[in-house]
Amino acid sequence: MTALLRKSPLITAGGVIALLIVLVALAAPLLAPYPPDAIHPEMALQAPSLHHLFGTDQVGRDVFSRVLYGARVSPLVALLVLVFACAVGIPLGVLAGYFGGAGDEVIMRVTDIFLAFPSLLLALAFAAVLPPSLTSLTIAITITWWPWYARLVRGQAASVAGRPYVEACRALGIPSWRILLRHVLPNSVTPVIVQVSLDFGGVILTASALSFLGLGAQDPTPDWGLMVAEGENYFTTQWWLVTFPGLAILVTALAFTLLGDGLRDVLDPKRVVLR
Amino acid sequence: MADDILLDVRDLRVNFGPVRAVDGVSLAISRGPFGIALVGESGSGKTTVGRAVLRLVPAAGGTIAFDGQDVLGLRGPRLRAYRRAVQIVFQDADNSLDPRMRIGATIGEVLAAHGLAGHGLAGQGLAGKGTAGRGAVGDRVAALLAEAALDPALASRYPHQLSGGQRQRVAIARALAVGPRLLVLDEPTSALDVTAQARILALVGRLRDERQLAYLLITHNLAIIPGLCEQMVVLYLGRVAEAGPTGELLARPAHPYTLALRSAVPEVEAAARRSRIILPGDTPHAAVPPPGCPFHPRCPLAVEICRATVPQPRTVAPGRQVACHRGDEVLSGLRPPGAPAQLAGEP
Amino acid sequence: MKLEIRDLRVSFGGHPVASVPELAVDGGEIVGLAGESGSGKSMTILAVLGLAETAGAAVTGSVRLDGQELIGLPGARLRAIRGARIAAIFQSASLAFNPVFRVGAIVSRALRQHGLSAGQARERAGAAMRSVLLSPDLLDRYPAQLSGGQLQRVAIALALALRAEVLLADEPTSALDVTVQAEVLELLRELRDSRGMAILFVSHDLAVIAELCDRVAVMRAGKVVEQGPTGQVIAAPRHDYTRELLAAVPRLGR
Repeated sequence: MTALLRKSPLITAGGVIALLIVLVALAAPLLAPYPPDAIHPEMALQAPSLHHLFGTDQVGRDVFSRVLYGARVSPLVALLVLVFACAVGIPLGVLAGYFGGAGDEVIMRVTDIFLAFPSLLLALAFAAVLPPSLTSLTIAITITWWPWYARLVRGQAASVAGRPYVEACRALGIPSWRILLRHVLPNSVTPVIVQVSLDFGGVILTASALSFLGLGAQDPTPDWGLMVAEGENYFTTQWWLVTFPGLAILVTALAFTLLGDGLRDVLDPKRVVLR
Repeated sequence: MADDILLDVRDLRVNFGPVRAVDGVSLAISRGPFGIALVGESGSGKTTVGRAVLRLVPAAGGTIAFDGQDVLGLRGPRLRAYRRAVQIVFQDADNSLDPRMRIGATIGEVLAAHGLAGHGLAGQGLAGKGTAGRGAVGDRVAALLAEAALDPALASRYPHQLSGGQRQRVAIARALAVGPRLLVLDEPTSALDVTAQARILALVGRLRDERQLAYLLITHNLAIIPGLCEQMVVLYLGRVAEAGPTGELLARPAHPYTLALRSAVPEVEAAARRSRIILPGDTPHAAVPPPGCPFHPRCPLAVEICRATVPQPRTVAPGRQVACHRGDEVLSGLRPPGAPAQLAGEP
Repeated sequence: MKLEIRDLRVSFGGHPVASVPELAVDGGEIVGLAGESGSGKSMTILAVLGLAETAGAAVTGSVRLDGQELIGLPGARLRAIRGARIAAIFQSASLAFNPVFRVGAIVSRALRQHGLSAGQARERAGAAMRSVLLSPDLLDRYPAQLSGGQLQRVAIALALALRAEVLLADEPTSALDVTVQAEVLELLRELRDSRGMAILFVSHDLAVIAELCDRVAVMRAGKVVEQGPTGQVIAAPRHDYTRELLAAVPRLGR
């Protein structure tokens, strides 16, 4: 741990903050001074104070509590998106890479189509046709995300398929399904693992953006992106409505990205550090 | 005599696109204990022959028969059965073992895949775990490692924790797991230090006697052949240059290429050295083979007919085949004059 | 002596990887450095070239070229010497040539780097190619169009064109076919005889060393265990490891 700290204080900070965010998400009910959806119109739009650390919003809800509870929303969406994207992308990528041929072509052309669009726009398009909700948001972003992983894995799988130990397995009469499961898959997923940890921050940003546009979480869900959207009109006067949720998005995305960086360094011991 | 033949390769052809990697190779491997060497340099097609025998690359023509049965048309369970009888050890010891699996699991997997664990369920369970633990599989793995002169405790290690020589011996143990009658060794020692090489070669010799093994030793190093292989076949550009008993062939070659090859082998003892026959240029690319005899552009003994007609293998002495128009002369002692100075790359 | 190595010690993070108390190569002789993998022979070459520090190693001791000390020499002066006076060829010649450039472009750039004009570079390159029995036309090709043996000879031609006095060869023939190897070895002998080059030849193949080298030093686990005239070391090895190595070499000669 201290070795990591010495080598890169940034990565350690990222890891620590990411951990804190997860703890906050889990302990939100214990940490939040007020319920996140308790409406008190008489207390609306109050500046940050000792009673309300981050102030109150336009219907009197405590921004601090909402930010804390918000830590459950975006990261959860990100987790679900990444899990499903892997569940779809990895098997397709492995099969395409190992067997090649027509199946590979088809899968690659499909991913080509998806990847031709900027991910945010594509997610937007999907989200727009679905009834706005967190579920739709998750589905929309997942559909946009899986092609990347399929491609990453397919490249690795194709490379692994040609390696001597895989050829040795074929020569030894080991059936294809076993080779795929025990040899190709474990040796092809490393780039995805790194990419997933880096993408966590990216998905959070995408989810926040979509919620900001009204296509994801709906009121009263304490989603950070939604909070920024709701506070948009008050930005110049009641700056706290936008600033704190915005900072939360920033810090979370940054923390997980740094963690992803650190994970890549750990998983790739051959990287030479130039002095 | 035909009864003795374990593997009969006739006129094998293998193409990679337009490239004729193997262009009509025939050889016969007797039942064990027996060793035959397949010798050649880059572009000779020797590795491809080995792979074709293992059905790792498709053959474009010719036949391969094992124990009298056709090999090239095998499918499904009969192909799996063939893969128990014929096995291969690859050149690249560093990469022929999955780096993420422990040694015991790597060998155990083979046993499980062929149902050789002695107990179906135990085989499945243990082959999936990381160690060659208790049970029938664990014992078999330990026995195989010991047979390959390895400490059975190595079963719990990962490939990167072993030396190159040890990894190659694990590859041999793994190949032996299925109980093959024929073992193809593709440059088994090229990537190893000389002391590790000596140990591997000694192991092969021992296995030959203990298991009545037949093996096809593919190599570019002539020096490792005597003592291990009774017969040898020299390949050049996908075709057989000459074939015959090892001792005789090396003592009295019948093909100019064999002469040059033999003369090029460096010798530790000064007394054993021969005058060098330096072949001009490099092996031509297999995609564009020369007309007539594939060796004629570099051959110090080439004459008119060599440029025009492809020499077919013919018998020049009992047990000796050679594909050279001047084979009889070479066998009788014809040797090239001093090598001409010629710039490689000039048309 | 052209090249003199004394008390050379190379270590990584405190661990010694190569230690050579005394080794010298004179013009007109080939000295062999024999050993298996991990013996430290390649690190010795890198240290002589002044490239060991770049790889992260610490180097102490003395390496003198014609009496001039190379260890500790500032970068610019070392670069002037490297290539021009001490050249090196390695196991994989193809790694020495950037695949997007024609071979000739790489060669002439190296020559111009050391002060030659474009015209001089072209001329010298052509002459050097002929010396290694390659047609100068091959300079117009890309590295992928040449075979391993041809590339190795181009690398040697480059050393010749630069008029290098010392050639360090690290397993230059290990990846080559045996007939091609014979050609390259013959070439090295010629460089020694007709050009008086000092050649330090590293190899794990004792048979090649026996045939090529006038003197040999045997290394094991980073230390020199035995050295002397090749004939003597082979006929009457004094160290057990040397005996072990010799016993392991397969012999065709019988």
